[in-house]
Amino acid sequence: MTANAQGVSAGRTKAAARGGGVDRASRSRARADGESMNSWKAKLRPYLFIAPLVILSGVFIYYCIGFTVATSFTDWDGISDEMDFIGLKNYAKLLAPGSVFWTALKNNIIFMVVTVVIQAGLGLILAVILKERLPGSNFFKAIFFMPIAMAPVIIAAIFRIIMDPNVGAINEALRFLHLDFLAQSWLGDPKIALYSICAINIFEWMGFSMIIYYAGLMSIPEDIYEAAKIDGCGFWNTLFRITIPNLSGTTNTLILLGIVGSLKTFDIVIQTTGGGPGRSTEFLNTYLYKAGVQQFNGGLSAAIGVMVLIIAVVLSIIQVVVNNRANR
Amino acid sequence: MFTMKKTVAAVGALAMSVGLLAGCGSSSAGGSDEGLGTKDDPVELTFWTWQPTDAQWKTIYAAFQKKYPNIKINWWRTSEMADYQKKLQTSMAGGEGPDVFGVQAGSTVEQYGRFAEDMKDLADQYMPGWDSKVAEGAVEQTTNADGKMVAMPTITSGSEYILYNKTLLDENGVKVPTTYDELVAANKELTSKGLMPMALGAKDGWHLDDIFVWLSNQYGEGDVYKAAAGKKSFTDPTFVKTMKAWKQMIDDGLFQDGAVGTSTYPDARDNYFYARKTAFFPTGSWHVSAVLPNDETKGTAVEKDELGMMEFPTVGDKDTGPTTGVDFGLAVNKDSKKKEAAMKFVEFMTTGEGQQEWINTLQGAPVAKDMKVQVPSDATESAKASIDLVTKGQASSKLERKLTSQELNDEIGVQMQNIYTGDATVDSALKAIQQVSEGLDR
Repeated sequence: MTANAQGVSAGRTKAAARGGGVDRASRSRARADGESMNSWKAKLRPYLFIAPLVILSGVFIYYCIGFTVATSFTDWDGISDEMDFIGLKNYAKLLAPGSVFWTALKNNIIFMVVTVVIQAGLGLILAVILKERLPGSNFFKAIFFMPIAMAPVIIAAIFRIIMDPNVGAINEALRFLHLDFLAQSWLGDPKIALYSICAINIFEWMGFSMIIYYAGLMSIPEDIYEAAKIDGCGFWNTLFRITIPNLSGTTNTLILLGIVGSLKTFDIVIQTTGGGPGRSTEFLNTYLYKAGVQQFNGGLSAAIGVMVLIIAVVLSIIQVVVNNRANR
Repeated sequence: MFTMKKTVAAVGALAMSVGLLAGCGSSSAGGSDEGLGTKDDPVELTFWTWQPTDAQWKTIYAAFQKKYPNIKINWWRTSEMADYQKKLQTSMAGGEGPDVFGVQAGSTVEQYGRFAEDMKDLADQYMPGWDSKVAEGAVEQTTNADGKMVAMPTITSGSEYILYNKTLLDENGVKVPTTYDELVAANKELTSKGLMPMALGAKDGWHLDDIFVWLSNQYGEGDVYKAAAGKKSFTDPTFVKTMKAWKQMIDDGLFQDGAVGTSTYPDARDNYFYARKTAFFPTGSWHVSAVLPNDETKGTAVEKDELGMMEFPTVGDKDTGPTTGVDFGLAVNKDSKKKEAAMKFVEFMTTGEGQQEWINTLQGAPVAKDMKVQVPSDATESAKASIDLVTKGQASSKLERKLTSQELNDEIGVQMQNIYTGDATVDSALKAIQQVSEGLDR
């Protein structure tokens, strides 16, 4: 109870001692009204506080999801106010055998597996090395983290130049080293282009994994390492038996973020290969963009969006379930 | 009291969020036209576009301001067509589009047609005698499938041309080729001397579509438009020959390694042609501007070289010449309350000084029948010949550059890439294109 409230309550006691029976009755009635008012207000108050968020997220997220789902059953062109219900036609087109959707999904899955695993792996190795506080470790931490602060469009533009098959730095370096047979058309060969995009993505996000792991490493108590050292644990044993198990929470977070991030991938792809050659680097989001913005097929574009949402939710549930089982 | 404050704060926050959302509604236009403005109260037009370029606009707008000081134009531009389309699409859907906007013949005429006022009605009212001054073929291309004239055509451009470096060819003792066989031989000669083959930006679907339409007309004039309208199959002999010719061009070593991973702009142009790594750069007629001294080549390795433009030599059975298309047309928003002022701008850009200013930059060929490019007297012989060739070729061409379905365009581009990389045969590629064609709502 605050000092102010105590004062009020003390005042009430004095008044009650002075006052007669009639006053007491009216006071008790007033108190009852106040209490019911208070409980009404008390019940309403939390709703009022969350109302702005609920309304804003409702309009900008849940309404949009609802609108997208509804649109996916129409032939909307994305700009007009004409919208005819066409049932499952968009989904039938999307899910037909051999359709662009399956190619894009396959590319997305390959990209997801490659980037999530390698980003996490490299991030962990870097974090472990940097934790050793070698000379210049802060400098390298900043260098590895830098790509995250760069705009993806700039990263893509730089890699387009570096990966150019004829005048790019990678092939020029290989030729200089007489390794001509390794020189490739990095973004123009359908067998390689997807992995080139994976490499660019890893370059961009490896530093993020590193920082998250580094923060995780800092929270592992030092005495565990000391105990391990006394027990004669070598570097690899310490890594696999202490560091990695203690970082499982961090790893799970990175996997979840990696899954969501890979489903959202768009900028790097559109700026480097544009989904080509052919459809060898078509992603769900580049397909969605082409259908919606370039081909004026808003209905199909919405259907792709719904599928991406379903895939994201399913993958996230699987990941959380697997994580919970592992922790049990 | 404290509780009261909290309640007020919560209600306030709620009211603000509702107020914020209320601001999202679209505004609707109506009422009378604002006319041509006065010195104290000028009319302000909004104009969104992807061209002219910033430098070109500066000159054009200065001339416009001189003629119409009471009409101000709020100009917004992005050079990327896709970005422009994205912005226009969103704002049009929200009922907040600009007064005047640019369109290109093809899918944008069809898609944005419903947001535009009938240009024929406007032109009849505000530009008397316009129909005898503007090329009829161009007007057809800005008229949509329902017969509504969506925009006033402004400039035209077509494909397929080659920008060549005359100085580099001379240095290597190679003559400017005039036939396909000479082009292949010249390419071989140059590559044997350490240069690259011609720099094709085959990553761009739009460029491959240009080549497909141009090439297919050489095997069956007009067949590609019939096929795009669903009146012919893409598996017909015309297209089999077209794709075989495309494969032949690749096998003849005409293009650089990894062409399907290279964009026309800026990569093929800047990294190869302007870097003097190749003497040939396939592109469209709009690029003839590079043959005169200009900002684009300034500071590059070809700045002092003599550049020229030629038509891509005929590959097929018949010499059908280049394609042409309305590269740019001006549409007036049907909800605009400034139509009279907007039409002054349209007239200025189509049959007035704006047209002359713009075609002098060589961004495109004129739509005004009586206008000619004013070539600087100190231009090189190659430059004069190139400009003459492009202007005449564009004026005489009857072949449309673009097909109207973007989905079909995309598939053609993808399948041409697949043939390039060996991921598709001529037959499988054409079957895939025909499948997409059959799935279109016509």
